Amino acid sequence: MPRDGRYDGLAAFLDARGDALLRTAVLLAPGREAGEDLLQEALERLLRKWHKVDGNPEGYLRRIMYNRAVDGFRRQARRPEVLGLPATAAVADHASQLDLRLVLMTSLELLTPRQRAAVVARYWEQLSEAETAAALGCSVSAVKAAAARGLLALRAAIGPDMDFTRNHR
Amino acid sequence: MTRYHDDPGDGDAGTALRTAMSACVSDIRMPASLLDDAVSRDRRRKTRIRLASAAGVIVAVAAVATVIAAMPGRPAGHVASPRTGQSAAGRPVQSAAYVLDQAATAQVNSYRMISVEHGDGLTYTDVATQQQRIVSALRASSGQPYFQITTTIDGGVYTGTDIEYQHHVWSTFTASSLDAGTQVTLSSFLPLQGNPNPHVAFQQALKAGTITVVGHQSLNGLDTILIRVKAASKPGAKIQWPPSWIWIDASTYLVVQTKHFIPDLPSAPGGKISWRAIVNQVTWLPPTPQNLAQLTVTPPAGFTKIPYSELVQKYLGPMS
Repeated sequence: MPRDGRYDGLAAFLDARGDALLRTAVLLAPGREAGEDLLQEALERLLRKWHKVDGNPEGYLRRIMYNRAVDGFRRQARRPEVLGLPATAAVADHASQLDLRLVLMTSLELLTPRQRAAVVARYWEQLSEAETAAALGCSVSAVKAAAARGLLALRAAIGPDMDFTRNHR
Repeated sequence: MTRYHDDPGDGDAGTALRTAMSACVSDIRMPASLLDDAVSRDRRRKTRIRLASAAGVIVAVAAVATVIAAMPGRPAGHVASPRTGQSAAGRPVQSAAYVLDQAATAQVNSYRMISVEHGDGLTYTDVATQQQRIVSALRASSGQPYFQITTTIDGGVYTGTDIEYQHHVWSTFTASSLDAGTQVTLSSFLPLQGNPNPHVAFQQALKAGTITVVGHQSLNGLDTILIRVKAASKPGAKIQWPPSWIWIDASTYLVVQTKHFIPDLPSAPGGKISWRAIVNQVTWLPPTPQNLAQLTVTPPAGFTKIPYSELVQKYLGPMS
C-alpha cells in the first residue's frame, strides 16, 4: 500500500472490501485481468476525488465501475478473455473450476455491456431495479429490458436451467 | 445501497446464475499491489498533464507553421497512395493496407444497406433506420419459425417485439435508448463491425498483427479476399482462442462469409476443449421498400399478448 500516508483510509477500506469489489469487476469486465484493470481504473478516478469523498467510497467505486463497464471499458478489447485460474488459489478441482469459469465468462461475453452490467447488478449484487438504474445512469425500464434480454441470451446459451457445470453444445 | 435478500424476480434461473457467479469468483482476492499501481499511474498521469501543458506552447507554434505551409500558392505535401501494381497473372497486386482501407470504406457504406446473416436462423439488420429482425431456425410444429424478434430504435425509444409461434403468444416492451447518457445503436454482429472509425481501427490492427490479409480465395465461384483476425492472447491464459476468418467480396469489399469458433467443453473435468466452427453467410440488400419490409413483423391475428417477463421465462427461455 502507498506509504506516504495520504491514502491510509483508502488502504484500510480496500483491505476490508477490495475482494468483493474485484469480484464484481471480474464479472462486469468480464475476466480476471480485465476486472483488475477495471477496478484499478476506478481506483485511479477515486484517488483524484479522494479528498472530496465523504464516507462512502464503495458506492463511488461501484458507480465508476458500472459506468465504465457500460460506456466502453471493453471497446479496446478485441477478443473475449478467458478467466484463468488464480496462481495461488486453493481450488479443489482446478479443471472443473476452469470449465465453470470458461462457460460463465464465455456466456457473459455474449451479452452487450449494458445487459451484462444489468445482470451482474441484479443477480450478483442483488440490487433492486431502481438501484441498478441509478448505478447505470439509465431508466428503470431500460434496466428491465437489459436484464430480461440478458437473461434470455444466457438461457439460450446455457439452457433453461442455467446449469453452468454441464457440457453445453 | 440496499441489498435485497430475496430473489430479484426471476426465480430459479436467477438463483442458479448467482450460484454460478459465486462459485466462479469466490476465490478471487484483490492483489495487494492494486492500490499501489493505481497511485503510481495517477502520478504518471499528473506528470503527463504537466508535460503536455508545457509542450502545448511548442505545438501551437508548430500548428501556425503548418497552416502557413498549407496556404494557397504553396506546394501541398505528398500524400502516399495505396501501393498497387500488376501481378504476373494480370491480377492487381494489392497491399494489405489497401485491402483493409477498401474494406473500411465498404463497411461505412454498408450502413446504408440491409445485412442478412444466414446462420443459425436469419438476422436482418439495417443500421441506417435502426431496425433489426431475427428469425429463428428452429421451427414450431406449424412449420413457422419458433420465434421472431424485432428491435427498433426511434426517437430515443428502444422497442422490442417478440413473437412465439408455438404457443401463439407475443409481447413488446419499450425503454429509453439512452444508456448512461450515451445513445445505444443497433449494429450488425459481424466481425470487424462497430468500430467508430474502421479506417483507423483496421490499420492499427494490421500494424499490431491482429489482422492478416491472407489472399484471394474462390468461394462458390466468387472471388473473395480472406482475412484472418487473431484472437488476443493474455500472458498466462490457459486457453488460446482460435482466430476468426472473414471472406470479403474482392470487388465490393463487403463481408460475404464469416467463420468463428466457440468452445465445446469436455464432458469430464480435465478433458480437452474442442472448438466448433460457426459459419455465417452474409448477403446485402438495398434499402428498397420491399426489403425494408423484411425488418418488421406483425403478430398474427389470434395471438395473445402477454407480459414480457412471462414471455421470457415461460416460453423463449425454456425453448432453448
